[in-house]
Amino acid sequence: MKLAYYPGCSLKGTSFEYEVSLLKVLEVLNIEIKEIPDWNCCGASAAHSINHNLSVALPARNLAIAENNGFENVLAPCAACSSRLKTANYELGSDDVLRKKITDSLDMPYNASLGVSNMLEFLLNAVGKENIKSHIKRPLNGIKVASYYGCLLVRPPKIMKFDDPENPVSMDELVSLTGATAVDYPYKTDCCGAINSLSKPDVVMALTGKVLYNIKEHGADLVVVACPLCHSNLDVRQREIERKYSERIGLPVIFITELLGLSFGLSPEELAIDGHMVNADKILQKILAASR
Amino acid sequence: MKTIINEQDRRNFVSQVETMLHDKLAKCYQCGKCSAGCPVNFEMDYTPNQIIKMTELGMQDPVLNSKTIWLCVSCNTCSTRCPKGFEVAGIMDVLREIATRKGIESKTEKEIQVFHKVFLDNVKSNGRIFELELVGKYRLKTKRLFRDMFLAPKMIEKGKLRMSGDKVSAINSIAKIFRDFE
Amino acid sequence: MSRIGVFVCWCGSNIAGTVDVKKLTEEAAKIPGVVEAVDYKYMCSDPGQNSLRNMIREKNLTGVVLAACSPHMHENTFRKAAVKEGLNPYFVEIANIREQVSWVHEDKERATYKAMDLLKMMVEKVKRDRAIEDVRVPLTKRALVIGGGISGMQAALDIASGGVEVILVEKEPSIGGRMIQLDETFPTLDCSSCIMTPKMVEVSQHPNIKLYTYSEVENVSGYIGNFNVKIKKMTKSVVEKDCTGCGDCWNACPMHKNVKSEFNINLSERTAIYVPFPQAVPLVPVIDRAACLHFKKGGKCVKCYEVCGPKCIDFTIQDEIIEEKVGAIVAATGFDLMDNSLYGEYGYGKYKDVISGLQFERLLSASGPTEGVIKRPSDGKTPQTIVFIQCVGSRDPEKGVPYCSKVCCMYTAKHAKLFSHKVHGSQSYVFYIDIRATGKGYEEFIRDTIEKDGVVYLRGRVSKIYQDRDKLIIRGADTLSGNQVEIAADMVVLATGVIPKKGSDKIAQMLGISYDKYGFFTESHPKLRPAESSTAGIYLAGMAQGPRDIPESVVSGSAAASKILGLFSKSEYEVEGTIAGVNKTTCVGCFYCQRVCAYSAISKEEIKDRNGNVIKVVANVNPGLCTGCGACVNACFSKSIDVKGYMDDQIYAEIRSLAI
Ligand SMILES: Cc1cc2nc3c(=O)[nH]c(=O)nc-3n(C[C@H](O)[C@H](O)[C@H](O)COP(=O)(O)OP(=O)(O)OC[C@H]3O[C@@H](n4cnc5c(N)ncnc54)[C@H](O)[C@@H]3O)c2cc1C
Ligand code: SF4
Ligand code: SF4
Ligand code: SF4
Ligand code: SF4
Repeated sequence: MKLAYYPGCSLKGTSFEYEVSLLKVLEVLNIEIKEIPDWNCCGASAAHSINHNLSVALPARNLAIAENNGFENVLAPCAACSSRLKTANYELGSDDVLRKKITDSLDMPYNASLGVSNMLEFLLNAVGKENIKSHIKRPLNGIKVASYYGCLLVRPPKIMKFDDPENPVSMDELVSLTGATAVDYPYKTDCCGAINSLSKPDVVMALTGKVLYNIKEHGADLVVVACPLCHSNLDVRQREIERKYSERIGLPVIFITELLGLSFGLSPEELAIDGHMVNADKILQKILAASR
Repeated sequence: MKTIINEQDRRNFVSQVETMLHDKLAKCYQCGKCSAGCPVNFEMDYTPNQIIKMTELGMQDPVLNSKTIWLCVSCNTCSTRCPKGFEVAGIMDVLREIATRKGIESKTEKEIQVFHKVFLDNVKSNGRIFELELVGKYRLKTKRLFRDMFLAPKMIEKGKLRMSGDKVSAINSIAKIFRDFE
Repeated sequence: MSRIGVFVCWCGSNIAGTVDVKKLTEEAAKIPGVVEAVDYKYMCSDPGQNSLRNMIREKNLTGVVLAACSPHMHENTFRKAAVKEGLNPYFVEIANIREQVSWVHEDKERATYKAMDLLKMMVEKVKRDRAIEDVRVPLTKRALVIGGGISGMQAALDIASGGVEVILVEKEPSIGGRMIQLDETFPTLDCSSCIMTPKMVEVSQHPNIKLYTYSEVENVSGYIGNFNVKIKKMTKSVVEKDCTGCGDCWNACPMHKNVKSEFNINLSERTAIYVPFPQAVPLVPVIDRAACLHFKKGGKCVKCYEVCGPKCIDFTIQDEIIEEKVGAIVAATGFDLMDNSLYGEYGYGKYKDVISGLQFERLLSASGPTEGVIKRPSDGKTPQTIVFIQCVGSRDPEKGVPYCSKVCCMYTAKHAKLFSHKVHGSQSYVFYIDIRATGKGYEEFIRDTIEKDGVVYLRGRVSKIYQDRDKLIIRGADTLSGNQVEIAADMVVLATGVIPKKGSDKIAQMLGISYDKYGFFTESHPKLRPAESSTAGIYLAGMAQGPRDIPESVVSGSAAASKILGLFSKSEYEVEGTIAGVNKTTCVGCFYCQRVCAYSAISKEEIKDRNGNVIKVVANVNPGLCTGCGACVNACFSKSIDVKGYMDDQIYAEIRSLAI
């Protein structure tokens, strides 16, 4: 299996922890990936918000490079990137006129043959539960984990074709594999405000706050995510939300790769968990203490 | 508000939107489920279903100047649950694009517009996002110099804000994409 | 000497749970006249009924009292069991100790006490019961159908096909009713005249159907099985049997202006001698004497007479009264539309291009005044933009009626759809409050009109319409977007609400059936007896009962027919014997009873001496009409009327039993 890797901008910047932990976990699993050479930004929400053609052309360049380099599948760990790549792939595959217009501009052929996976899809389908299970050295028994899916992993279902859009379970399944307890709560797929983080912080804090307090109410120790945007809203803005609503949350938010890494016996430092804004020391100590 | 429906203008607007959307406005039967689930409905001036109806009636000005189209965060909750399979999130993209092409400046949601522009400019010049530059430019443009400033020191300490960004080496190809489609 | 058997039923725990059945039985046995009292778990079961029959036989009972559930449930069961042992069924009485005691009380002691009271009353009643024979009424096996719209036609055809003779009376020169005025019909868009004309022909040719067109029912007397009907056949001034329907006469008639066509609802003119529409059944013209020059100008014009080949025009024929005897009647007089001029704000009558939905049907119709080309009345131009307004008069308690007319949502969608098919590039707007499309395929029809035909729906009423040069400006609302909207249109179509046919109240009074405050005939039971009127032998069909569409009208026509065929399947009509009876010796002929009888069951009877001289006039009860309600009993101050099975002595004895 030749697997292309599309990191996207966040994993090289504010969400570097995601990439660090991802690479470590893949190393343990002995899976090789290759970064798409000279990849570019997918355009994220800005492109599809105001310029539809750009929102297809920018991801298309990456897809075309991957396809022309002989790859069959792309892993896009960032939920936003995977959503954009999947959407572009869908449109290029179903609209010949659009594909021609775009490949002409790129000056590269593209046959829309590539498969795009998000992080969860990749772990469950390509890696497999058994494989993951066999690497678990430090079961996370007794830890209560809430999986937050947000919007982009599951919606719109006609394009994402992944999990149940209203009641997704894939991340919870991964959580259960690690031995931790998956916490069920109603706000799993409610929006955190995502793209308007910078431009509409009040709205974003209201939305993210609702999610965080709901998780807290359902007794989780920890939140896992598979999206840098969700992570930055839930983690980076958490202090501010606590201040705004004068109620403590104190929920560490980590990436699913970090959770797997912990269960594989990797150290928090190797997984860059200390790169998060919300301090996770307490729960980490509990995990480490239990394994000793 | 009073609207005089001019049949020709209405049809032009409807057909422009429908062509870009690849969907039919008449599909929507105004059940309101989209608005019922929209996470940012509370901030909007028109609910998503109102936007659809108003577009169908050709009410171009209020629609393109609405807060709603900019506040929509493209979460797709609406489209996912719409009983008629209407592209609700899609129409928001289309209306934003039309407003942008017409150079309409939103009176209340200018910051969102600026953010999208600055973001794409950043992609245009680097091929990738250089976050510090993005945030800086955005601040300058919106004159919100100090908003979120208190986050910066800790983010730098944690290694989240890098001081230099990567660039796509074949930057010409990015420039070409923008030339062709911007 | 009475020999009464008492049976106390437990009804499982339904009664026994609240009433002390053992005690009740013991006490019952002590009542004078009671020979034996027993209790049993389920009296209605086979063993229960057998014990009743055995006791009647063995103890030679003269009467039976059951303390059990409501007589509505099992009175018939127990009466039948008694009849098998040779006892008259009216010697079986029921004390209702379930619905009236155990189900509504909690205190066992007091419930038992009340049950005892009810039981005692029935024992006293049964002691005074007389044998009553059910009344048998002879049946005239012929039916009358009033109204030749689709519902009346359906009823007539079904009855006739069942082998029963039918008289169909239609007021207009042709049968067909409103449906023949329609163009295509929702939701399948089949052409109305294509499906209607063959049916009309079938009606006119059916050997069992006698058709009177241009006729009205003048008087109805009698009762179920035995109605006497007077039909006024208005003169057509044409000898029907000779007329070939060639049309020479109406083509020759000089009066082709100034008389508006009723059929085309004033959108065209007709001659004085005319058929309402080319496919009329029967295809025989009538002379409208109010418009005819011959009648107006003292015999001057005889053009039609001259051109008529078979010479069937006869100016001297007079109206005729025909008497018929029938056993059952169907009232299917259909509907009219409300008066649009109630809405000054819409300018109906003032602006020529504001028309009603039925008028629009005529514009759509290939046989209509414009031969199916949509042209607006003012200048004959084809409209490009039409605004349709729903609920005009309906759901408007201020100016119109509070009810929903049921068909206008659908026909408006149909109109907008057909308009879009006929005039390419045109646009319709529909103002509505909400869409009622509950029939099979109806919702899909509406969605199709919106999604495929591009009709724009606006949720809201229109406030005002005014003329601006050659446009009509419609000021309405779209409450979904919260906007006041203004549309410039070429034509406006009002979905006018339906009301019962003018004069339906008179018809109801003549038939002695009840009708609601709008004039719609009321059903005997809105759910369980929807085809029956309040009067036995008279059935209802179609829009005359309330708003309904064609499929429902057809169903109701068939329902009325099946009721009549059922009635006629027996040789006689049987009525319970518990009806009023007059003591002709004491009756003083005040006829207060007649005034209070809701069923017109009381008539005057002359008592004559041997020489045929009238000695006195007394009340007479018609057993076919009397329901035994007892209103007359209270009205009679000479105490000359009693309802069998509920005689005064019985009632007093029941009351007295409580004092003991
Ligand atoms: C504009 C419009 C469009 C419509 N479109 C559709 C459609 O597309 N599909 C659909 O299913 N339904 C449609 N309908 C409804 C349909 O017209 C009625 O459901 C149907 O006509 C009812 O039939 P009816 O026999 O009960 O009454 P009617 O059609 O009214 O027939 C009653 C008949 O009785 C006669 N009559 C009345 N009084 C007397 C009397 N005293 N003596 C003798 N005769 C009398 C009348 O002259 C008439 O011929 C529409 C209605 C309207 C107003
Ligand atoms: S959910 Fe769909 S049908 Fe309902 S109002 Fe929204 S877009 Fe229209
Ligand atoms: S996509 Fe936009 S309009 Fe739809 S629910 Fe999300 S925020 Fe609301
Ligand atoms: S007699 Fe009367 S009906 Fe005959 S042609 Fe003259 S006007 Fe017409
Ligand atoms: S059927 Fe529709 S238009 Fe007619 S009264 Fe009822 S709601 Fe109004």
